[in-house]
Amino acid sequence: MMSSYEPQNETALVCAAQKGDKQALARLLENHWAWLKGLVYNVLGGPEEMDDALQNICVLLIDKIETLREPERFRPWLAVLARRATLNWIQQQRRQPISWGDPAALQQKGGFSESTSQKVEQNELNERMFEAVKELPDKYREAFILKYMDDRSYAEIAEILDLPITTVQIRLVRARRMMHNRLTGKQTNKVPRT
Amino acid sequence: MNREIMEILIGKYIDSEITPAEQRLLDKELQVNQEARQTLHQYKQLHDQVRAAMNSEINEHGKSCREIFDKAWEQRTVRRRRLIKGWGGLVRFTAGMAAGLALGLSGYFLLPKTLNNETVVKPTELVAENTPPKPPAEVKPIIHRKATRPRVLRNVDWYNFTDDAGDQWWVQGVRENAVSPAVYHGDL
Repeated sequence: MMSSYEPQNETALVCAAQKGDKQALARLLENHWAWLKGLVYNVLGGPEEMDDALQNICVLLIDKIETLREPERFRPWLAVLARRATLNWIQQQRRQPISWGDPAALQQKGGFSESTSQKVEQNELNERMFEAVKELPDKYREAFILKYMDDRSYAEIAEILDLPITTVQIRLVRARRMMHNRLTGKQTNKVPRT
Repeated sequence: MNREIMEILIGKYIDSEITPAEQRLLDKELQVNQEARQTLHQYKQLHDQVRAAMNSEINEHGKSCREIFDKAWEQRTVRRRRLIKGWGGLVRFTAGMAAGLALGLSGYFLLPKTLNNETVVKPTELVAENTPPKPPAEVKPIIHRKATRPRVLRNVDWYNFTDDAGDQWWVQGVRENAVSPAVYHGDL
């Protein structure tokens, strides 16, 4: 699914939001909501408390939108703000970020889908999927989640993570290969070199 | 084509980022390479599974964007009102202090200094004043100064000058091009 993202309209929305237009700001958030959730999910390590963290980000965004000097760079600016806000929020809540290498903690936090309507097979597959995702190195996992959360293009992911496009391509290739190896049972602890 | 390039092309194809030239290259490789076809199939399957898992895990959890945003907007509005209320009293106090200080300083510097503890009554018209006789003014004695030798001035030059009558004069010249009158101790 491709997001309906139009840069020109977004710049106009940012300018309107900076002047205090609530609807423009809400529209901006809706356009970027999917990858924002993915970013917060990546930092928090699970879906719980995502709403609280996102609300904290929204409050900061409302306060800080006027400080954005280049409206066309809204997305990377929002990415930096969201990441910092989530990390600060975690510290304020007096808890450590969940280590992705801690399956027990993830399970206690209910990191896996508990929907009873899903088939057992699908649940098991999802479980294995998230196990494989959490074993990815941080930099690969970040790009991987952003890709699969909102189906963003390489250029958009590069802008959010402040990386060259080729680096994003390589990281996604390596993440896929590691996921595939993990799910097919080819255990390897090394980062596959390209 | 090596495996690395093949995986990059397959990844770009799955992510819909492949260019037409790269697509032709990949099609050519897929026609001759069984491993490439297998890898494409596996990665496509993985892509669909991961997307479904991520969707169920994240997107189907939690409140909607609009709901969270409205709550955040309300939270910020309440916070702002509290801030204004809290700071309003302090602002008023500070403004009052500043106004009082300004008034006090202006009163001190601008108003005439007659408002002392004792009120001064200005006499309307003075005809005569009964004042005690003043003692005679002290007369300072005249001090006759003895002729003294002229002080020796430093940083001066002396010039010998003989006038038409044959009298010799010593002329004192200050080094800053200032000439002061000479003192003559002759018999005039």
